[in-house]
Amino acid sequence: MTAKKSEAAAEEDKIIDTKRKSGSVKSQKQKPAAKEAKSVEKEVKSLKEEDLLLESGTDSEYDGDGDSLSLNSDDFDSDFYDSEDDGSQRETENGDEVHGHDGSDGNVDDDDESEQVDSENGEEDGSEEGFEQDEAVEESDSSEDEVAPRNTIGDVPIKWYDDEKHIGYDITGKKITKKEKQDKLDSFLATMDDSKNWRKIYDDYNDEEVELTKEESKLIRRMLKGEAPHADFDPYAPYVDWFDWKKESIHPLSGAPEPKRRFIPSKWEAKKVVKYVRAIRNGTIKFDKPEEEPNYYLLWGDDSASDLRGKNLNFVPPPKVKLPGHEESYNPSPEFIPTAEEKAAYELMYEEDRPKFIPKMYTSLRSIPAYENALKESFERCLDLYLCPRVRKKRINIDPESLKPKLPSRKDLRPYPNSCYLEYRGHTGPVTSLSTERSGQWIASGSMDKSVRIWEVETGRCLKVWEFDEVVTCVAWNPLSDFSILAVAMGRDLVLLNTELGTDEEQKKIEDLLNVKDLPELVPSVAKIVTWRQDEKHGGVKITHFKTITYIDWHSKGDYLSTVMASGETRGVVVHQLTKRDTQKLPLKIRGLPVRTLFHPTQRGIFLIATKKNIRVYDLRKREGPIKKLETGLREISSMAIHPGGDNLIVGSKEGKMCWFDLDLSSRPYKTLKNHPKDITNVAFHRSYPLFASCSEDSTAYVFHGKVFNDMNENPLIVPLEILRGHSSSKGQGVLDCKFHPRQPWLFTAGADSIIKLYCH
Amino acid sequence: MDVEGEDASKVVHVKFVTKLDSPFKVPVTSVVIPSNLTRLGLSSIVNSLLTLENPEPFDFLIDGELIRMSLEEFLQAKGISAERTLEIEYIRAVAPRREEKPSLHDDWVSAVDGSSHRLILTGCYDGLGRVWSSAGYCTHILEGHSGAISSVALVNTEDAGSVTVATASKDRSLRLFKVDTDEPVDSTTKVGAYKILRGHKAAVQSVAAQKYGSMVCSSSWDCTINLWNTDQSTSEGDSVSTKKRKGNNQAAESQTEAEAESTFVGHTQCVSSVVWPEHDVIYSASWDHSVRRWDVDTGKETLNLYSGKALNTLDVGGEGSALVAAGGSDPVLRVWDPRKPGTSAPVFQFSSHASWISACKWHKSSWYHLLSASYDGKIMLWDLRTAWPLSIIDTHKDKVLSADWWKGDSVVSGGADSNLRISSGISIS
Amino acid sequence: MPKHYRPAGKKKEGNAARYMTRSQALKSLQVNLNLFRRLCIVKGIFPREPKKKVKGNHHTYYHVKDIAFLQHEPLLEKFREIKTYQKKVLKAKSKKNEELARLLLTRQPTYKLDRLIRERYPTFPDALRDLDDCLTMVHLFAVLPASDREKLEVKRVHNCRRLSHEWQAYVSRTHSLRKVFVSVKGIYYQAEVEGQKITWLTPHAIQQVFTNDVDFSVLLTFLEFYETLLAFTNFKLYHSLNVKYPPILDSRLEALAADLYALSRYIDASSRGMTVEPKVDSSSSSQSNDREESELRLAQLQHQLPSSEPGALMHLVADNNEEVEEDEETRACKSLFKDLKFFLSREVPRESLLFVLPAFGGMVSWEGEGAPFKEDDECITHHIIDKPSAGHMYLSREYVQPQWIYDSVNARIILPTEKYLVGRIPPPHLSPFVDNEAEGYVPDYAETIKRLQAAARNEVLPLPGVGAGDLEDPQNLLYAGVMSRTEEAEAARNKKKMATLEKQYHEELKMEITGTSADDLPVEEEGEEGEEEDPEAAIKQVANDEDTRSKLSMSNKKRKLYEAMKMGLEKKNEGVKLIEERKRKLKKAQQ
Repeated sequence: MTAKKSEAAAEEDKIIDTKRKSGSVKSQKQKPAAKEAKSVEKEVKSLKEEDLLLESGTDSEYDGDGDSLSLNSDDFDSDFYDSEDDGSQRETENGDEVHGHDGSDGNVDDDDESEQVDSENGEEDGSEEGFEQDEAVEESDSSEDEVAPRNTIGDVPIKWYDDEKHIGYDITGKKITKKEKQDKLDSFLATMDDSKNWRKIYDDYNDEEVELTKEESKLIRRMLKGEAPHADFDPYAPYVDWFDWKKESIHPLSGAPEPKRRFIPSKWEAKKVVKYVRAIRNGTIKFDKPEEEPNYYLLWGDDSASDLRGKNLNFVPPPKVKLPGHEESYNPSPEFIPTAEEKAAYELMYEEDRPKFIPKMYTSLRSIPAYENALKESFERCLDLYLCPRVRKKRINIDPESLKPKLPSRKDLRPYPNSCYLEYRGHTGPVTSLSTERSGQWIASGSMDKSVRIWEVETGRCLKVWEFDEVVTCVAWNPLSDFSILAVAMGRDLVLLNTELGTDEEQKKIEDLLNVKDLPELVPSVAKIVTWRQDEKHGGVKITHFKTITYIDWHSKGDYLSTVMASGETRGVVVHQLTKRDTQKLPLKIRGLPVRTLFHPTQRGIFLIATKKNIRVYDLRKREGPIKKLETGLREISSMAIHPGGDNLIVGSKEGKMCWFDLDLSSRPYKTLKNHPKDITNVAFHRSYPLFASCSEDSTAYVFHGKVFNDMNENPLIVPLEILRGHSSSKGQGVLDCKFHPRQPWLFTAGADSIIKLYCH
Repeated sequence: MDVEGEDASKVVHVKFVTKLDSPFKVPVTSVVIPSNLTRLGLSSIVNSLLTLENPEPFDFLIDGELIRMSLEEFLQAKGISAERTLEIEYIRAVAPRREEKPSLHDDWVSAVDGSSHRLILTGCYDGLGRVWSSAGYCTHILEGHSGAISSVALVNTEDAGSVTVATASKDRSLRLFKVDTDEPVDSTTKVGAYKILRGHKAAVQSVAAQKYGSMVCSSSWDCTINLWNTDQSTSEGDSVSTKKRKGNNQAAESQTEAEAESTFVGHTQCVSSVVWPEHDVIYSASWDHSVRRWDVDTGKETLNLYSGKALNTLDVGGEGSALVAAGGSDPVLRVWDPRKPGTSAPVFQFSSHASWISACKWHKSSWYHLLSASYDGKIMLWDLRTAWPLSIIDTHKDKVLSADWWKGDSVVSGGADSNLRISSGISIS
Repeated sequence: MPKHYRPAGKKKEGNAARYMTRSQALKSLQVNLNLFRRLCIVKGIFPREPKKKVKGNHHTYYHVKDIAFLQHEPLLEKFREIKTYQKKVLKAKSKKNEELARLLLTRQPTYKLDRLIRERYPTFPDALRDLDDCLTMVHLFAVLPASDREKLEVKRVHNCRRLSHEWQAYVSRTHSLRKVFVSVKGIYYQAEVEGQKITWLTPHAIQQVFTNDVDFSVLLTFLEFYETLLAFTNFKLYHSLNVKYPPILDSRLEALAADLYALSRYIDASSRGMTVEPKVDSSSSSQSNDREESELRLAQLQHQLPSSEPGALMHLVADNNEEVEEDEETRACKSLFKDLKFFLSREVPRESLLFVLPAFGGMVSWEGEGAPFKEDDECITHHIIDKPSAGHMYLSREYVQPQWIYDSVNARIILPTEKYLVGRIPPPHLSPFVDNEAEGYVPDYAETIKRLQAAARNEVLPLPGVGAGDLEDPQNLLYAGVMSRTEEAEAARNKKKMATLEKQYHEELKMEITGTSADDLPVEEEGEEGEEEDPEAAIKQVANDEDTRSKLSMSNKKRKLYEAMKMGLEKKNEGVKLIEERKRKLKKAQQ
């Protein structure tokens, strides 16, 4: 029953529709769609199949539509609009339907509407599109679309024209006059005699009678039966499984063709958009949000509890820029402006040491040009700020004088030699070596004029002269006071001279010591090195070595005498013993050329050998390597002297440095003094006074106060006292030797100017 | 500079007084003189007042100090106002007027003794002592030493006939000679020692004779002072011949050896000089920077003056013959007054020399004057009343090794130019 | 094995652990160099100098903590975001989608620096201490031409200009300007704000030129930070004056490039507050009619007269309640140009003078409209003019060159104007930042100024001999050492003199004895002359020996230091010597 009713409605609908040719294709499509929806509600599925069947023809146009939709928003909108208003159209239609049918249907419809809006529901969509499509089908084969509509009154209730003579207007605007009603009888007769009369339906819109064709009536009949309206549609078509795994499809996705909905705008989306549009129109939505104002506020409102600086590690504030001086003024006082030649000089300078800023003078303020380096300088400042490592430097703005250590005043350290009163003249060549007699009454000197002289200290009188035939390199007085033997080294010979200064019995002793009638038989290894011989000419002993002797040193007991030769290995140093008339090689190997040797003044058998670089301390009684090695940081050692106490050593070097070693403190220098610009030729300790001296090729001699304390934990006190000048340098040589007077605080210096000077306190 | 030429901007009223008798006495009148005069100006004024035939240099004293520099400077230095009339005493300037011709030796003259008026005694580095009657006249040669003579001394000069001479030498011995000075000198006679004093271990530096006695003392490098007896009779350890034979030119002369009477030990270094001013007091100077006074009888040292320097020479004299003057290894001549209690600082220091001081001698009669010889070749005459030397004798070409007064008005000196020089005519009132 | 060998398990220690090179820092922060730079600049992170440079000398080292500090900086994230956003924009651009690009550009992510400022300058004095560079830069950019090549927009230039003017307005209002120095590079100002001496340089008001050897991105980054800093500082300062910030300006004055003036007015007005409102008409009634229109503009702007109004009652009021917190220097500055009216002719640097004169209590007007009073105002006392000759001269005022103002400002006294009159070469303009004594060279004009000051001081407050006394002491201290030297020399000379006298004495004696007359004295004289310079040489020798002696016993390090210092002193003295030498030459040239 309901079915019939609905069908009737549908029928009527359709008819109306088909008669009235309204503009848009779509609108035409939809009405039967609605009918379809009602009629074929039950088998959704079949419907689906159907529209799937029917789809193919219409694809193209939809595609285009879909594109435009997805792309630009404008036609999106427009399209939305007409979809919108035919949506409303449909609503009105439904409205009619509601009028037409009972509420239940209307309800259904409402549901549909609502569902359509809120959720994308496959069925609903499907159905909707469904009828659109089959309309299209209908469209395609309905013939009467081509016929122009006759009545143009549009969609108004026809009953308005009931009491009119015309029922509307044709396209040209002429009234369409009604046919005059024929009375019942005639109509009846017409029906009677006309067999096809039952097919005739009165169309009051166009006010004419329409005769249904056969197939039309068939269709109607089918519909009445509730079958599919089309004859050739079979509802039970075999199910096509688009999504089969049997076939060689590797993709899990379905090969199903794109569903339609992908191409048509979604209504709910459109609704949202329209909401926005409205909002925009109302101005509730703004596109460019306003330029936000930089808001400033009281940043340092409370300076309390600000320990942020504490968090990151020590912050070094950037140094301030140096404030400008007078010279930067635009109008400096004239003395600040460099003269022309100075400017020229600047030009000649290198880029970096050229002054950064050259003062200029402008007579008036307005004549000052723009400073060309302004940007550059600020840029450099920036670079400094973020690229330069900042370090806190302690600024010492003190008088540099205050850096000088407080030396104990020299007055307190007296006596020390400071002025020269006596000169010992007589040598004709540079004086190479000095030696003081123990009592301090005489000194001996050897010179390049091949002579050795003995001088009386107090008067400066030359007592004795020995002439040799070789340059005297070294003289050394026997340390014993009652044993006045002078050892003279010249070339390869070492001559022991009798100075005949002692008393008679001493003389006797010396003489029989010095005449060696029976030459000592030496160990063959030693014999290769030295030979003893009697020296008749000078009445002494001559010991000839295999190499030139560079230095000789007496043992403090006066019996042993060590000579240094310019030779490495074991043969560089030999020790002679006077009483036994014997010569021994050292039982040890020397690395490098020996320069100086020293017998330790106090400890027995301790023997120091200085090679070019460093100093080794040997113990002659045990026969092994050095018991101590002193690293002097020096390039070439030239001389050394040991403190009479025996535990302090000074070393002079060819680069003019002097090292003080504390032997039992460490093997490194306790103090290094760079006092001479040229080679140090000799260093000397005083035997009793706390004095030491160094003399150098720069023809000066330094006198130092060097006090050694008894307790170990007090460092020696070293104070430079005096620079002794007076010698004149001859051919690059200055002072060649210096010795202290054994008892007085006096210093003897032997100059290359062939003078020996005595500096007294 | 002449007085008239100078502008007399500031003047002083002065009155010249003097202890000199005529012809050097000026009438005591106050005169007005410009204040910027120096001694020379004053002297020329006095001379003009005196109107002598040959001008005489004077020296001037204002209350006990000799005027040096210009007068006003001097006054303001002394703080004397120039308003009141000054009393200026004038004396004859102390300066050698004459220079005798030098008497040459063979070697350095290391010692001179002028204590006797009749002769001059010199010691020389050639080991010979010489006796000179006057400049250039060598009467005797004292031979025997094997080393250089370092010091000579006249022993008891009072007896008429002959004098005894002690020489100290670097050969560690002393020798005693007898020289008779009576017979007229025509040729130089060689004299041998009659006594040899051995005992020093090292060179003898100095010898001094006892006043009014027969003892000599000697000092040596061996840090000792030895006392010796000079008369041969009482010398123990005599050798065979005790009888002394007079004879100038006898080669063979019996010599006696003698040991030291006593030895004073205390010095730690070479004792460079000794003097024996009083009967039982010996002063000694040493290189250990000390001046010591020894009591002869006990041998104890009774005084020890410390000077910073090594000393070469000393002499005792001056006021009450108590002042000690010593010089040594620096150019300063120091004078101590041992009688001053407490202090051992020198009371005078004369520092005009340029080098070591080798000799210093007090004038016998004057309390103020002393001389000093130095290695810078100068002999300076000093007056305690001023800081500058009265005069400088720089006749020596080399070091002056020793010097002495002679006859109270001359200076004899010997030096490394191996000359004995005599500069005389020194007027010391 | 190498010295810095580290067993496998062991952690790094010491400098190796504490410092990292820049490249390491970049890696650990995962930023590129530019970004890192910006971060460093904004956060004020600077390289450190490690004791031992583990990676070698040519690297720059950052402290690990600093880098960590950067790591936790939210700005880092922000920067990254911006970077990606930029990529977006770039993409749009390259796709020719201008629309979208514009759209995106309008929605760029932004960041704020205020937190950083607070972090870098926890207290306000800290900020003030670092304000020098900030001000200098802002002032520089205020006169730079905007150029899109350097991505320097007009907006920023204007902002800089505004900020600088705000600052100047504050300074001049509070009379805290202390020193002004016109140099070739520009004009240096020194103000004292909250006890901090702040010095900045404003370039001369001529178009600056771009030099292409600067990296503008760095500069702009700094500028960005500085702008913010200065803005906040200004805020704080204005706030301390109870002035609203940012100020609303008199648009017209602004248009006349006199916005500084406008500002100062604004400040005065609003700092005075409501109390002075009633006085408006009274004071305005006292005005000459030529300022009526400006008056009513002010009235409608709720503005007030400039504080430097002669005889304005509110002046007294203001002073009375200000006296308490003003130190006497401020007062001195405030009253320096009191009761003086200045008129600036067209060619003088108006910006600077508009800033300086009110700062020292002067009252300014200028040529051109918007000026508070016109040129023909009778009570103008000084007419600042920078032309060789003035056109029409009023007898009632003095025509001086601008330098007069700067000099008298620095001298704190009103200098006599005759040296500065129109057409003359003004006396040298000296830098007020130099301590002449320390420098060792005092220009003449400084001396004269000092004398004038002393005079002024004496007449104002009777303190006899203030100037003289304190000058001597340092010199005494300085020359103590020298004195001893000279004494030595003196002694030696005396000794020498004595010796010569003695010699002369003996010569005389000898002569007298030999009886020769005095002729050969001159010979000795010149002999003495010959020996004269001997003692000096000896003294020098002695001094040298002393020097070498003490140097010998110094430790190596100390000796080096000592020599370095000596060298420095030498250099300084050389400079002074050179200057004096030139001076002498000039003097000679003049005679």
